[in-house]
Amino acid sequence: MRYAMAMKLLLVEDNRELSGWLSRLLSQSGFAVEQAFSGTDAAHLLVTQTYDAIVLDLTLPGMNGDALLRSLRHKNNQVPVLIISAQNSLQNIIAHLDLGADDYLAKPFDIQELEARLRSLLRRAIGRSNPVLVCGGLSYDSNTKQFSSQGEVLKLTPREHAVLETLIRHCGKTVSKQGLADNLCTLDDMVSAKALEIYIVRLRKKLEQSGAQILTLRGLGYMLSYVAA
Amino acid sequence: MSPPEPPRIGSLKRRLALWVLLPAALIALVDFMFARSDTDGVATLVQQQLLMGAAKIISEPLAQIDGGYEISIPPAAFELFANKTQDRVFYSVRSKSGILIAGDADLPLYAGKLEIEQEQYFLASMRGEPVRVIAYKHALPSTGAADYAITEVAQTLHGHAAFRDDLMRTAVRETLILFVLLVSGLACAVRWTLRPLIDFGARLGERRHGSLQKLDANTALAELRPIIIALNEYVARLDQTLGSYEQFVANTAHHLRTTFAILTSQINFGRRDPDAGAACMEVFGAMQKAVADGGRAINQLLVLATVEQTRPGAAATAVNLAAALTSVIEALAPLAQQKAIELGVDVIDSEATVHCSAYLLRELIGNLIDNAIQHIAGPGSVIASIRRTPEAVLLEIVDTGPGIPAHLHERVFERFYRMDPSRAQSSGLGLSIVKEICEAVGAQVALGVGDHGGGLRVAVRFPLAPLV
Repeated sequence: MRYAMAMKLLLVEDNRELSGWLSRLLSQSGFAVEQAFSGTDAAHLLVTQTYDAIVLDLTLPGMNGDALLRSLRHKNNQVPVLIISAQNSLQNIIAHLDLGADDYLAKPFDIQELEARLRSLLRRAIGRSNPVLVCGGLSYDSNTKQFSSQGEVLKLTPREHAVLETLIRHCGKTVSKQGLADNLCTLDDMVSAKALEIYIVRLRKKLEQSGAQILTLRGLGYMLSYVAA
Repeated sequence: MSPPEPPRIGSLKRRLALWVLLPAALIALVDFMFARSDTDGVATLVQQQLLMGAAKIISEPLAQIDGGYEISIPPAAFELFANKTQDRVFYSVRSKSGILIAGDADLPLYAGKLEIEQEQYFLASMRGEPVRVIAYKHALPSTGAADYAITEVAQTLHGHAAFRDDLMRTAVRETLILFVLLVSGLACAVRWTLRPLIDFGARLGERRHGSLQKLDANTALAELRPIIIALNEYVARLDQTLGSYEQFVANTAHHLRTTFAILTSQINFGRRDPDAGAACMEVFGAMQKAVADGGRAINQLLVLATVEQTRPGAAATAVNLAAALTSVIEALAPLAQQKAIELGVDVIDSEATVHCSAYLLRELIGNLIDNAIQHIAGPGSVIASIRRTPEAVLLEIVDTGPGIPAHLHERVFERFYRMDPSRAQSSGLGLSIVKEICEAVGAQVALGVGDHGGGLRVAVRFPLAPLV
């Protein structure tokens, strides 16, 4: 998938090998990547350059990721920041989101996951009031009310659309069958459990290429999730 | 096997009390024995003085007139003996030739030899009663030393005994008062001396469990200072060791995760190559899986390191078990989906709470479900349930995997134990993490057979969360 205009990224990662591979991968996907190998390098670049998003490692020589993020936000620079870190404790994640990071990804991660989150961040930055929801290769633009799979617009019936919208709004979380049926009821009349199952089957077919899957969790309900091939 | 009984040393207080009270009691006893013989001596001496006085008064008026004897006994001689015990008093005055001049003929005569102006005391019996007798030999005034008489006075022993007992009572009372004063004084001294030691023990007891805070040696007693300094040195060393251990674990995990991130990027890059054939894709798939397994092992080691440093009750809160279970299932659902394994819940008590660290609880459930998914080769199921009994909250996870034979139920909880060593993707840490977390949070874990006689059933019993 290529964007009409390349999104400019600053990749701050002290491990040159990882940085090199990540920038190759991101460039392939149409991002314009600049690399910084230390916090101080990044801080210098940020004085003169503007970026659409920053991918920031936390453990850096010179000035660490925390300090860089804090100084950015202190200067009221609201550029979206996605943290990639080898420290993946929950406390750590929460602490950094509180510091002003927009997202957090623990190493090692799949490039598809990183790209999906970056796209989401970029879209959110463009129209902050109309978030774009992403799950793997599936995205939902709540502005145009359109689902796309790998950049292609998905054709859905109103009920399939309603089911999938509920699921993507709770991506990675279970939604009970009752909860889904209730959401459909507001559309028109009662939906039987059988009918719901049929919508799910159809949706699964349409999502096959997207990397996102609707999982059935016995006793809990349905969950939309990214499942690696 | 229960630990051996510590040798009985008792407390310092008890030792001091024993070694101070025992000698004090011994001294009191000896004092009592001496008092007993002393009082008897004093009472006897007093009686002898009375007898002597009486004998002198009686013998005084004796005179020889015309070959005969004349005597008139002054009543004062007997008034000397007046007391409450109504002792009986006897006397006799006999001439040189033994003729009774006055008094009682039954009074036994002193058998020994006496000099003039010499007295002798002895015990005898008079009309069936014991008496103390004085025999006093004295010259008759008119004859010089040529003629003499022997005056005897006897008194029964009631007064003597009463006087002796009186003295004894006084002595005992004094000893007792002294003993009580001594003991209470010693008790105060012991208490006051041991107070700093007891306070020190109490301060140690009040410290947070596993605290690595140093103690103040400057304000402590000289005797306690070496202990505190040694303790502080030990704490400092432990702190340093734990710190470097944590740092080591964190550094290692960081390094390995970064390496795996590079590998993942390389695999991602390879997979995107349009010229990569099916064989290449298969290799990339296998590599990706190996990296994922390695990542899991690192996380497990990190969890083990955390559990080791978790003291009982640390960071414990009331955690909703159903919510924790659901979030773990959601996180592992994609993995189960990849292996066509049905994942979900059966009976679930959504109100049940357990009292422990939320992080450790998640790791406990995560390792149980992950372990089940890893061991199921093809399609199968992993189903969890939560029940509440009056005593406990019960979490059960039943899978359709190969199960674990009963004789291995203990061994599979050992670190790095693998039932099937050929399964490279298993680190052998999953169930040991489960066991160690259970121990850290006070839960019990038991293995059994799954439904329909196959698979594995893991039951974790959590004690009921304390009512807050």
